[in-house]
Amino acid sequence: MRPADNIEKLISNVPIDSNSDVDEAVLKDLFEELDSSKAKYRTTQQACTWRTIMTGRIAKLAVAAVFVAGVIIVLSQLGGSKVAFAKVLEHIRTSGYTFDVKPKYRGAQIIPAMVLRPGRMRLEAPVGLGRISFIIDTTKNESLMLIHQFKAAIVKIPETGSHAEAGLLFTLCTKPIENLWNLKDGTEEDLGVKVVDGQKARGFRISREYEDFKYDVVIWANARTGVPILVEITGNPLDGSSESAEFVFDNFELDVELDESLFRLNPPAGYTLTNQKELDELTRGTPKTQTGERIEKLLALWSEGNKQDSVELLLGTDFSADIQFGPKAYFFILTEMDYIALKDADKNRAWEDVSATAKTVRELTRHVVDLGKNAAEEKDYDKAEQYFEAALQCGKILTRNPEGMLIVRLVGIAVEKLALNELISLYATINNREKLKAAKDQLQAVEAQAQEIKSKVSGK
Amino acid sequence: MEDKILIWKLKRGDRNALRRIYEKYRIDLLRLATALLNRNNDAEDVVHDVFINFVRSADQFHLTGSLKGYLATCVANMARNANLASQKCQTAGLNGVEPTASQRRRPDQWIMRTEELRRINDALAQLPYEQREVVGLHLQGGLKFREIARLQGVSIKTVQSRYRYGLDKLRPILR
Repeated sequence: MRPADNIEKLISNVPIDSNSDVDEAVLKDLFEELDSSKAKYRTTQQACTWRTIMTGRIAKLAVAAVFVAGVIIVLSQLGGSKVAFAKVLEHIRTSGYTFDVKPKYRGAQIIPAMVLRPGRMRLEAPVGLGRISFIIDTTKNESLMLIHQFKAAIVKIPETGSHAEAGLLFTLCTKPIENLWNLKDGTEEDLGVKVVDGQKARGFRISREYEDFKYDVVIWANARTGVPILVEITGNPLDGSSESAEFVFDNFELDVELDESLFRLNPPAGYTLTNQKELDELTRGTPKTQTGERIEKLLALWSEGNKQDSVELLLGTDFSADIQFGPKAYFFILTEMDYIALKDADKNRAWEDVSATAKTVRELTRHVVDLGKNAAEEKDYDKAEQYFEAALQCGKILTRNPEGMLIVRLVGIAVEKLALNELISLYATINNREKLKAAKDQLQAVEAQAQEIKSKVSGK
Repeated sequence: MEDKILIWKLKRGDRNALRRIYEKYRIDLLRLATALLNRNNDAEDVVHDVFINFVRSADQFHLTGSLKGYLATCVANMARNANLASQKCQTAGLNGVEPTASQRRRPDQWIMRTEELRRINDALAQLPYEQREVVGLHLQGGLKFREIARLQGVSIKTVQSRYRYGLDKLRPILR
C-alpha cells in the first residue's frame, strides 16, 4: 500500500502534457480576446495599476513614500480656511524640506524624502537589492531611477527583472502626483490640541476619496509655529478588501537648502544609462592573444564533449602570458557596466552566452580538481598540484577584472576556493609549510573578495 | 510578485504577459480539470474558457492570493457547471448526438493521455464529487483548505475530513 504522501505526490504530479499546436490555437483565441478588451482596459488602467502595486509589500513601501511626498506637494498648493492651518501650509510651501517616511508594517524601513518646490522629489527607497533613489519631477512628468551599487541609471521603466517592482512604482510616479489629492480649501477638520513629540500640537484631518481608495491625512503641527511634527496617512480601499497603506512621516526639517543637482533628471557622473547599447558596439575591436584563443578553444572542446583534449590544453596553458579574449567571448570581456548599458535583446544574448560559459567553466574545473584528488590519493603529489594549480589559474582569470560581471567573478571565486582548499590539503599532507601559508593567504584574499561582492550586491 | 507584474502588464494589453500566464499554469489547470471531469474534451474546454473569461475580466481583476489558486477555483466552478450540464444531456439522451465544442474546434488532442493519467483519474472518478474536488484543488490547484472551505461553503474541518476520506479511498485503488 502506498503511504499517504506518495499518493499525494502521485496525484500532484499526474503526467500530463499539452500539444504545442493547440496551445498556439488557444493563445490565438486569447490574443483576440485581449485585443478586443484593450480599449476597455486602458480606461481603468491607472486605478488598477495603483491597486496592483499596493498589494506588493516592497512596492507598497516605495509607493507609499511617493504618495506621501505627493500629498505634501498638494498640501503646499492649498490655502487653509483657518489661520492655524494656513500657517501649517505656509511652512510646507517653503522652497525645500526633508522628512522621514515610516510605513506602518513590521520590517518596514525608513524612507528619507526630500521635496524641492515646485513639484520635485527625491526618495531614497530601499527597494530590492540595496539603495535606490527615485527622482521625480511632477511638473515635467519625468523621472529617473538610480541603482547606486551598480551605478546604473534607468529612464525607461523596467517591466521585467529584479527592478520591475521599482519600475511599476515609476509608472505611477510619472503621472502627475499633484492631481492625486485635489483637496479644496477649507476641507480640513480641526482636531484640537494635544502633546505630540513633546510639543503642544494642533491637529487637522483631511479626508478624500480618490479612485479606489479613501485617504485620511492627519497633520499634527506645532500649535504656536505651525511647523509640521507628525503626519499620519491611511489609504483604505473602497471595495472593502483588506489592502491598505498606512504610514507616518516625521522629522521635518523646513527651509533646507537642497542642492538642485540632487533633483536632476540626468544621470550623475559615473552612472551608466541602461538599455542604450548593442553588444557589437561594446565588444568591437577587442584584441585577442594566443593564450586567450587557447582558453576559448579548450572551453569549446569541453562543450563539445572532448574532455580529454580540453584538460590537456588547460594543463599546457601558460597563465603568465598576456591573456586577452576575442570580441565574442562575452563571458571574459564584458564588465558589469557594459552589461547594464545593453539593450534588452542584447542583454538576453549576452546572458545566454555568459551562463553557458559559466556552466562549462564550473564543470571543467571540478573535473580537473577531481583528477588532482585522484592523483593525490595515488600519492602523485606533483601531478595533483599541477591539476589544482590549473584550476586555480582558471579561476583567477575570471576574478582579475574588478569591473568584470559579478556573476563571472563569483564563478571565479568559487573555482579559486575549490582549488585552494585542495592545495591547502595537499601542502599539509606533504608538509610544505611555505606553500601552505601562501595558499592560506590566497584563500583569505579570495574570501575577502567574495565579501566585497556580497556587500556590493546587497548595497551595504 | 511575478504574477502581479504579469497581471499589471496584461491590463496594459501585453501579449507576452498573457502568454506567460497561460504557459505557466495551463498544465496544472488541465490536470485539475481532467481530475474533476474525467472527460478529456470537457477538461480542455473548461481550461480554455477559464482563460478566456480571465482575459475578458482582467480589467476588474484584483489579485489578493495566488493567481494559480484563483484560476484553479475558476476551473472548479466551471467543472461543476460542466458536470451539471452533462447530467442534463444524459437525462435528455443527447450524449453522442453532437460532437463536443472541443472536437469541432480542435480535432487534435490537447492532452496526451498516458496509462498513469488514466489510472489516477479513473481512481479519482470513484470518489464522491466533493471529495474529488477537495483532493484536486488541494493537490493539483495548490489551494489551501481554508480557500477550499470558502469555495465549497463548508467548514475547514469538513474540507479536511473530505480530503482524508478521499485519500483513504484512493489508497487501496492506487496501490
